[in-house]
Amino acid sequence: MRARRNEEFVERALDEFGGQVYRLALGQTRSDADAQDVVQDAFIALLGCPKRFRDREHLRAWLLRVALNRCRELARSAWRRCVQTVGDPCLLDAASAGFRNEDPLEGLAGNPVWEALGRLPEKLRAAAQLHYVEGLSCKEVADALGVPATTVRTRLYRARAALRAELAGEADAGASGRPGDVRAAGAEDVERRGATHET
Amino acid sequence: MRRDDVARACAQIRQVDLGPDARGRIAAAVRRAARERREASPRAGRAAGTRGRWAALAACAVAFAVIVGSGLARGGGAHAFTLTAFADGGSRASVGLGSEFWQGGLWSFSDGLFTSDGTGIADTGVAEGFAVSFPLDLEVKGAGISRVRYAVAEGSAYFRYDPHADPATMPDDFSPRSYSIEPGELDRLLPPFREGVVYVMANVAADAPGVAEAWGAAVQGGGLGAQESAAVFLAGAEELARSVIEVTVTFDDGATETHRYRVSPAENFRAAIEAFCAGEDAASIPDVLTIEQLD
Repeated sequence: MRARRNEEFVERALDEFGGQVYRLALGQTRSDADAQDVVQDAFIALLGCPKRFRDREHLRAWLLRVALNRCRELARSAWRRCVQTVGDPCLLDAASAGFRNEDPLEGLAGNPVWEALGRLPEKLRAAAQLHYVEGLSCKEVADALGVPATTVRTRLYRARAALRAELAGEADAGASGRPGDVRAAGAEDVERRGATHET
Repeated sequence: MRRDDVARACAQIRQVDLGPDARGRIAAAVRRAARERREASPRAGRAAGTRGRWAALAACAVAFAVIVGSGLARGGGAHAFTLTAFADGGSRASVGLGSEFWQGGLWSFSDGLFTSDGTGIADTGVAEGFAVSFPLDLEVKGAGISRVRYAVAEGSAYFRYDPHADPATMPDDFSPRSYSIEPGELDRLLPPFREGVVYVMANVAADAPGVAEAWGAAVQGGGLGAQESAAVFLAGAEELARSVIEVTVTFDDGATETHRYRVSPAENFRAAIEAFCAGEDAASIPDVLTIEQLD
């Protein structure tokens, strides 16, 4: 018999980890609406999850992993790809209904780390955000991503190099008055070696 | 950039949080889902439903027509159908097709990137091209169902398991050519609230008729336009149509029932996909796939 969790448990988890899950989803999707959808999906998935969590870190890792998987699904959704070209009707509806009166992305506009993270490949971005922004240890990031800790360290090494180049590029561009869109070589290498590329 | 500036920027990111409105909406959705789960809990004697979700293609636009002559009846929701031929003929199970709107799509791939564990692109003899996934949501309904087995009996279509929430939820016997599940094993009341999703996939060769432009765009790293996407989807649907899907239901008393199906693109397939990709309202786009019961 599978154990099911009640809504009180899920709401407590939402209070405790909702912010982290949301920020991770926001970092991946770069869309407030999509990030909220991902958070909702993740916590409703928790409602039906039969897994027994060892501790709060185990629960957090599970939620972050579910959120990342959902972000990937969104990213490869043809629906999303198509709609992006003509505007997101869900967003328009929500805006017209007065649901979204503040966009967190506006508050992050100009944040150099946020923008540099956004230019990283997805795998590096998730690892870097969880480690450098959320403060998770390599082990905790590994649990959340479902990869070995050695892989996380490799990704963090590459992410660090790419971020350093990005941030240095921005600083240089700012000093010279030119917009900087420097792409770190490390990041490109990873992308080139990426297996399947989505269209 | 100085270390202090980076730390300050990270701290600013950490201050971003769910707003109270968003938190309230999500909590309400959780409560609603919990209530629906309770209301849908199994009761003795109730007909069981087993759903092997074949998701993908995306599109609020995509609905499914079912061709079984006079045995066709709607049931189970706005985009679900039920083949009543089985039940009318004294059989104990019926099969329906629903649609999954928001999943999948197509991916480009090249040689050497295949996987054999059922979670990636299977090697069907196509060295490079597109892998196209289709949103078929085949639901088997009936009383006393203990297990349902799905298999590709003919053709190059294959199954792909996407562990949406937890890789441990993959069916034990899953392979690109067949798998079996128990009632409710992958099912969830509210999409996408599932433990995992099974896609039916078709690989399209890069040099297949009609997809040369799409392949060129993919190789150059650009996105596909509406016409290019539709061309690839159509080629995938035609590949799918050359395959036969076999469904075997095992009942609690050990009896089994097997039927075979062919899923094909409707005449309007390409135009419908193009229309949707161009932004047309999904509700106005007619059905684009047909399913035929072969035996």
